[in-house]
Amino acid sequence: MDMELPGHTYSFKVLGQVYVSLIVLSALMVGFAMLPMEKLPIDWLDLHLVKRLLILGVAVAMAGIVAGFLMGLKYEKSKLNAVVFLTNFAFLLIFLLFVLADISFRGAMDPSFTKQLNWKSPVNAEEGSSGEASH
Amino acid sequence: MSTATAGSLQEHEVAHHFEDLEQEFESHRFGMWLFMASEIMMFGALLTGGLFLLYLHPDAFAQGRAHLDWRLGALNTFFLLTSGFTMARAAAFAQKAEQGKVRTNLLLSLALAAGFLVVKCIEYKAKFHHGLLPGNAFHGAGFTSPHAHIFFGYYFVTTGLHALHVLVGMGLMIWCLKVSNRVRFTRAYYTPVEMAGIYWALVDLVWIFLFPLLYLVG
Amino acid sequence: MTAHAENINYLKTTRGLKSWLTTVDHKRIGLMYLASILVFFITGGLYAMLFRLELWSPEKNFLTPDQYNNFFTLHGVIMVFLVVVPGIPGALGNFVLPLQIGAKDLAFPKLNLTSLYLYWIGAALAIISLFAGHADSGWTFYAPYSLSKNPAVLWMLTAAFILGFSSILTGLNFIVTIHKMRAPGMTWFRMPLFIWALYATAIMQVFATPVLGITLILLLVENFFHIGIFDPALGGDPILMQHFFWFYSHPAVYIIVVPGFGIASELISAFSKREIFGYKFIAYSSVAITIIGFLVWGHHMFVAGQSEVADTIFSFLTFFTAIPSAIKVFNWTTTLYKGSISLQTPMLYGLQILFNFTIGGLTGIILAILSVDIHLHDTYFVVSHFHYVAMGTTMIAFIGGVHYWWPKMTGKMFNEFWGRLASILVFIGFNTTFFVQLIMGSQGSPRRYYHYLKEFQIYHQISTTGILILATGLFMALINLLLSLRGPSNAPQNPWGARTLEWEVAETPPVLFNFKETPVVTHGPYEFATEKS
Repeated sequence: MDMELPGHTYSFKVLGQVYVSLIVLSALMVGFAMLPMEKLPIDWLDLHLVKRLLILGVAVAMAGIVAGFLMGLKYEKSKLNAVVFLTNFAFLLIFLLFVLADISFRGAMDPSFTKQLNWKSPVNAEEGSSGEASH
Repeated sequence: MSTATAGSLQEHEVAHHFEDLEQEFESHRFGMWLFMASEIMMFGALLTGGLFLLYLHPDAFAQGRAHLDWRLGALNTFFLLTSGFTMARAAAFAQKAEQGKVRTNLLLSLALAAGFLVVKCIEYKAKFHHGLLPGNAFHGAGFTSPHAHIFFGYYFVTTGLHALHVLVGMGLMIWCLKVSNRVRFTRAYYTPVEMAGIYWALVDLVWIFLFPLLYLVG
Repeated sequence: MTAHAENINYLKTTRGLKSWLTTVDHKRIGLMYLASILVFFITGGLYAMLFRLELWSPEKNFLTPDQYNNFFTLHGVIMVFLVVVPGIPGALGNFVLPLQIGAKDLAFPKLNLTSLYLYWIGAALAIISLFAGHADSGWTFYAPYSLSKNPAVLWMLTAAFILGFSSILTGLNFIVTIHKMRAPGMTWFRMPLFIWALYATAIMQVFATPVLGITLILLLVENFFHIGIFDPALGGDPILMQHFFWFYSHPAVYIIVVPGFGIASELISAFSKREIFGYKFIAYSSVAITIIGFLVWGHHMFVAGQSEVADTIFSFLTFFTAIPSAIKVFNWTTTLYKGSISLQTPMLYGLQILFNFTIGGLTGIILAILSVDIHLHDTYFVVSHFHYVAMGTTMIAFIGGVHYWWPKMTGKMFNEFWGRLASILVFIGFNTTFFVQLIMGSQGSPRRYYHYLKEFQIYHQISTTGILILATGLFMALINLLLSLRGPSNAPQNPWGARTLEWEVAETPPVLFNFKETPVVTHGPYEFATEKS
């Protein structure tokens, strides 16, 4: 065959290693979750958050393995699809960060706005209270 | 090459608007990836919504999670990872032109995917039984958070959408089985199995994030 | 396919309705998109005319308040989801893209047909919604307005979901085609700027539309099962819904306008017979707009109740959109300088884009200022700003593009006199309609209101007069184009003397696979002989 072969040639050995590492990592993920880490006598650190970040880290590692080996990003000649994949995460990170910038700071300037929106809007609340007072 | 069926199988022909197999394969792969990108954006946004709700109602998530069985989740993780492995093997055998083993691995993946759905059904049934349902239908006992129903609403939406993708993935596997009866896979042409494999890896990918968000943290 | 069939005009290869409905030829699909989009453009426009006539005086004229809400919702949904978003990519992009890069077809011809069918299914669902009651949530489907289980809104949500799918598939097809199917010699920087614009658009379609998809799914589920993610009564967060919605819909505004920029670049260069000034800047500015477009969605939510920190960040980032937009306007203007300008019909539309977009862009900057926006939010100022961009830039570009490629599509020349007259009427009508709305809005007249204060009546009346002039111009242009179909096939291969592949190499109308043999590109898209040899 004189033309170029499309894609990359799969290796059974690598596939086996990928599979084993994914299983080990998912066990690790469950392990982290089960670990009674928040009971440690450390108060200068949000241990719930540490735990979540550890679990997230494992998930990201697993995602990297799946995308790299099972979806073949590692073997690409042009890194086009890898760029697409990373763009995805960039956009999602933007989405997450900005949404958090909203929710984390709600009520920072006006205490009448709580984290969960105060559905009696400040305008109506004033009217309502003055109305009650007049009765 | 599996000689028994080789005679009746056709060779793949390059479509009229492509120059060669390489261009065709690369275009298909790139197109598939862009489709995956849109799927990732969709699930990613849904997961971001989940994190937002987790932040808004931490109690609801903590109490809701206590009512999910992580062992069933882990079993499903195992099913999906294993089926991802067999799908990749199917593509590898397609490259070696071993049509029979491609089929075996596709059937294995299909069985594992079905296993995933069975476990999912068992979980859903338990939720229905205990009244752990979204919105007004919620009547679970022992919750102190007034927003616990949101956790279950979110649980049903995300796992339901994911299960729908599992079904589509199973459809793709069946389609690959059908193609394998007609066209000979070779090192030069294994596109259908590769594409189904990429799709199935996405189903894995989503579950890898969904599993900890719903079953482990909260 | 015989060798003979490949070498005749694509309109004549096969005949009959079935051959069109099952075609995978991008040119025929483009024409079918064009016809469908024109139908919906007229429909959406008629709704606008009806409620503008209702606003002739503050009291009730001939529409009830309920009908009025319904009509502006229908105008919005039809124009956004069925006209401007799929408009230029679906109709003109489909037809022109493979021709301009020297490909035989798009990478996935069947997928292309699928997205047309999805468009039709979405359109059919939108029509069902017309008969299912009064959709009254506005095109933004804000929760909790859209959570009242109104059947018309539910059908509309489903329609928008399907249309989103169609848009994703079109974008995907374009990106793959541009990456993988370019003719030999067609390097990235020899691509016409219309292709760059479509590429930037397609990126947004693929990456942003899925977020709309999940938003609409969640709204539907919320309607039926009350999951409480968006519904404040159940502990959900309606602002989260707005984040979801605008994460798509702000890029969608650029999905709407960026292809219009691409057409403007083509028109202005071709009719000035001058190489476009700052080619790379215009190309990169399209990509820059794409990226910035993903960072600014929160400026739609300044008064919605999101945190002040988020407000400030979004306001700050929004100013950056001015940079790529201004690069384009300045470069187009500079291209005109010392060009040999011929004021033919497509160019008249090209110049209108320059005028209208300058107003549309600058009013956008005004709205990005946090404190000013609190005054202007939800007034006619915003309506006018949006229409200067979506109608004044995109639809004008669409109409200009249709005139520009009409000879290539049909093989017929339209009447130049009526074409020019129509474009002048469109210009006058459009600006009469919307410029007064800027004044009215800056004085605080709120949008979407059925009644208004008596002192705003004169503005409303001017605006309504404007829309009548605009409609006259648009119908004149349409009739002029349609009448040319009855005339002789007199279009030369390159009536405008442009340098891009579809004019220089492809026949008029093109053959089935676009080119008799694969073209080899040896020069850039705008290298006119007057300048360089």
